Amino acid sequence: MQPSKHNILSQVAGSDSWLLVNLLSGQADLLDPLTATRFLRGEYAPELAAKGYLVDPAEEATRYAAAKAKFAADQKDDEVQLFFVPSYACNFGCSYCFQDEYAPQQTHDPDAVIDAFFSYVDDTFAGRKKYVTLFGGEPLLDTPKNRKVVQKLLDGTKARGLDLAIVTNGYSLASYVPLLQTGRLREVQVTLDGSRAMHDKRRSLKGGGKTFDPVVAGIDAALDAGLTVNLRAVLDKENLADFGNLAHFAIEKGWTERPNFKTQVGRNYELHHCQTNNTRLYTRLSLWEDMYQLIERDPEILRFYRPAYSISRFLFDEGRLPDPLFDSCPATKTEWAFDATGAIYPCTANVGKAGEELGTFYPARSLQQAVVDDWSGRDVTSIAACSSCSQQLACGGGCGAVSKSWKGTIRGSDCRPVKELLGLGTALYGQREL
Amino acid sequence: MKSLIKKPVSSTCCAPAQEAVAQCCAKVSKNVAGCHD
Repeated sequence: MQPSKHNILSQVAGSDSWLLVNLLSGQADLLDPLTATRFLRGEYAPELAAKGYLVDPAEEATRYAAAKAKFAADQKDDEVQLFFVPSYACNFGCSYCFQDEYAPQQTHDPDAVIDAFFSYVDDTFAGRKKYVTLFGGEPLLDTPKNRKVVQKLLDGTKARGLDLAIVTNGYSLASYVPLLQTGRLREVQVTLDGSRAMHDKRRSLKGGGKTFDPVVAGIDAALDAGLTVNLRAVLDKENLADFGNLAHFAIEKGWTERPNFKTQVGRNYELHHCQTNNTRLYTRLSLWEDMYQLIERDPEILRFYRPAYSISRFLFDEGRLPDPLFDSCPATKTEWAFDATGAIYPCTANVGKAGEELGTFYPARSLQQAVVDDWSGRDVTSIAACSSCSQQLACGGGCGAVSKSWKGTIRGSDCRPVKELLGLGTALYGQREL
Repeated sequence: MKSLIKKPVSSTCCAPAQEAVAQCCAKVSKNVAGCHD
């Protein structure tokens, strides 16, 4: 017997206790300092074998293969998210836009493109669970042309029994709510980057102009109409300290008590190109370290947003571990993106980026199958750096688009600081156990 | 050692794959900063 390749041992932040997790065996234990020290020295308590922390390597390899096969089978049956971008035009001039270098693109007649999109979906994704997400640019610009596009997508999805989700800056959301109520709307994602002054500084109209109040009015109108709102904040060192103010604003508005309100956080980071003001950017770890400190000072934030800290929140909420994550990149597996030029892309991270096209759905259909295969074959078993990593089944190999942008290959690792995040998350959510 | 597992554990997996993916991606959060980071 020898230690499993999938043991993750993390010291709990601010404590002398340690967390031992194994995604393959599904076990998680708190270790006292003496047991942890012995474990690190290679002295193992007998019960570690019974829990799959000590294994016969051949037996573990069999379990790994079985878990991988189950993951692949489940992924094939998973719901596919189909993004549609009617235009990259946007009325916002956000200080961190990742699409700001996208060249304006020639588009076709919107009616013909949308008809072709639905026809492609009907043919290519027949028999798969799926839904459509309207993405941009800004898809809810307040123009007659945009309203017609949104109407056609609402009608097209509804006629097929599909949900439609929308990712919007929220500026014109209030005026769109009556129209959105006519469709099968799954949710609307809207972004607020903090309280009024901070948000307006970071997410102004192009050429200047405040946006906080119209976005808030849009959220109110959507919630009142029964639509689900997924509120997102994009964080960096400029606005993290203001995140608590946003949380308290949402709590005071009563949003957090609504069943149709949820939240998420996005880290401001460099996806395709360097940002001019990149000293404000957090690393994957430092954002969550600072978030931890912020929540310690202001625990009310948890009423608004509960960070995942890798698998920590899941573990303490559910009393079990999630499935091993062999692949965290959905591109060409459970995600595809389509735009108004008639092009097909792997995912939202690269939709519209020149050179990332996989093929076309309009005016003619084409697909570079070899490139699709490169994306769809990406998982922790096909990324060399993941093979010896004990954290692979919590990380999933990260993002293929990030790997391609910064390492030049889809099959490169894009690592998550799982061990450190587990230390923070156990301190935050596991207090009763410590 | 103190177990943190309160529910039965199967030999390989115990939750739908959907939940595993959901660790990284809330469904509509599958836009840039939600999922890919």
